[in-house]
Amino acid sequence: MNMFLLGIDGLPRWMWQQFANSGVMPHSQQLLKTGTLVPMKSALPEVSSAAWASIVTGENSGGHNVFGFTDLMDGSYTLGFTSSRTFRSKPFWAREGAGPSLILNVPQTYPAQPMPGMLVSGFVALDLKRAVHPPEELAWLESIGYAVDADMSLVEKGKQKFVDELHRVMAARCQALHHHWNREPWQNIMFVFTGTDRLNHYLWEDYEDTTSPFHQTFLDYYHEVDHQIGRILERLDDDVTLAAVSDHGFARQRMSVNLNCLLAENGFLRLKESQRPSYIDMLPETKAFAMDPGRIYLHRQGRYPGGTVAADEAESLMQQLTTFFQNASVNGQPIASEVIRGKDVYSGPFAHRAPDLIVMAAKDIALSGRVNLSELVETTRINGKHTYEESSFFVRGERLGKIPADMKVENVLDVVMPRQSQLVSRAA
Amino acid sequence: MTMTIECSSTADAITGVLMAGDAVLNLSQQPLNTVAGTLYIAAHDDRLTFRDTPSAVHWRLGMSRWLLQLQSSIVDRIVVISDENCSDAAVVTRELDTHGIPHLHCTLMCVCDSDAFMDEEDTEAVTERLRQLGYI
Repeated sequence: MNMFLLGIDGLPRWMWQQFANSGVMPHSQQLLKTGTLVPMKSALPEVSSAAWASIVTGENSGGHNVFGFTDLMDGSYTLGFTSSRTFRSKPFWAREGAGPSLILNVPQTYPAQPMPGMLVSGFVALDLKRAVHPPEELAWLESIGYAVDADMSLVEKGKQKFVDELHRVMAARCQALHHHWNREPWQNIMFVFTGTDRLNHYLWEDYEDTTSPFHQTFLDYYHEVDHQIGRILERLDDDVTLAAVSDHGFARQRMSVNLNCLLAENGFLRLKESQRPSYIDMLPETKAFAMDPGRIYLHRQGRYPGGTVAADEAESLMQQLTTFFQNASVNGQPIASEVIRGKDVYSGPFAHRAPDLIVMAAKDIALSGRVNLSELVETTRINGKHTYEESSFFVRGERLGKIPADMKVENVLDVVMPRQSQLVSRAA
Repeated sequence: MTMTIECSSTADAITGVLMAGDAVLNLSQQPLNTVAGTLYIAAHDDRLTFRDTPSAVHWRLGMSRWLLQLQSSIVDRIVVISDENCSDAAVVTRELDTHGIPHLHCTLMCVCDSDAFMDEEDTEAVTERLRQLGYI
């Protein structure tokens, strides 16, 4: 095997180090001594679909074409969900000469595409039958109760039931990993823990509150993740490049703000009356709209059927919106830490599909792009949110590329699978 | 002179592209999932006319001169629909550009490139998952 790429969805670099030091994750403590752990920047915006797409392709969204979990079909108001078919850049396992790979639970790989090796899709996989390549592996996975996703509705029945479900799903995924590990001479294995992200979303308040009855529940889940990391480490040969990455960091969420609501209240967005509002209900007077989470699109002539923003007014409108978001507050709290121009951050053949602006959420604030304008401040059980800064990048190995000072998700492959010219001499 | 606006869709999702005042010039020969009353352009020999029932056109050079006649008070825009890499669509849109006729060129994606693997139930399920994580 050449490489094992371990994903731990949503694990902040600082938290991993803290849990390793404190004994919550003892195997990680040993692991982190053997290589380099650095903070990494996520995709823009910090959404898992785009970030994992960047990790496995080595491109930013302008190159792989995944900007979020949703997108409008070109020239229309039809909302589409991004999937493995949205990729316009090959993941590393599909590259020429990659050799056979075992790919388990990587988000944004549904439906499973033919590839050299075995793949079981991750979030947002719906149906295990369409999540498995080759299909003959399906029966065994069904026999062990492999689930493409945890039942998140269980959080309504209580946090303990929800966390029990996360444990159950993780156990089956790990069973699948170890069952298939030695069945082929894999060149690459990639395996992603995604329960960590779900846990962080719903129990972050319990992590922060050490008196919460679920504080220990939170730590116990990470302890189990670490146990599974230990099982993986036991099986890895010393000459295998090992990388462990997360797609974004995490922090407390105290308020979720609907950006479309804010745009509508301030005259930038106008919708027709509708029982189930959608983007097709946008009236021509609309100047801008939002998509998940924090992507702002000008309603441009030529880009959208009813678009009315002419090219020569786009710049002044972007300046107006930038000032608007920078100064916007809800319930007395500023909502944006920064407003970034899409053209400044995306590169590649699909950069023209990028949002015009990206609103980066302020501390404690999450941003959403729902088209339902009923609530500016959304009611939600979610209390943890993604962060752009402080995802985790750990690597050890002999044949590595240089870790950039400003490490980003799209740089992962350059470090762990460097081309000959990118190799640096390094002692593990 | 106008600029051709390019977009892509699927035969099933084409209503997301069409607006009131559009006339469809379907070069793809695929049946389109349009609503009743959608205005189509049909060919009789080389002559192009409007029709309110689905129609497809096999493009011939002699039709170019009829494009100018399509400008009318009932049509705001012509939507040229073609398969990928359709040389006839390139000819038509060039003509429309030259004559300054408002238009849109929509390339039909093959099913394997689209989200056709998702039926309505799937769409609801994805929506729910994304809602649970606060994305939509």
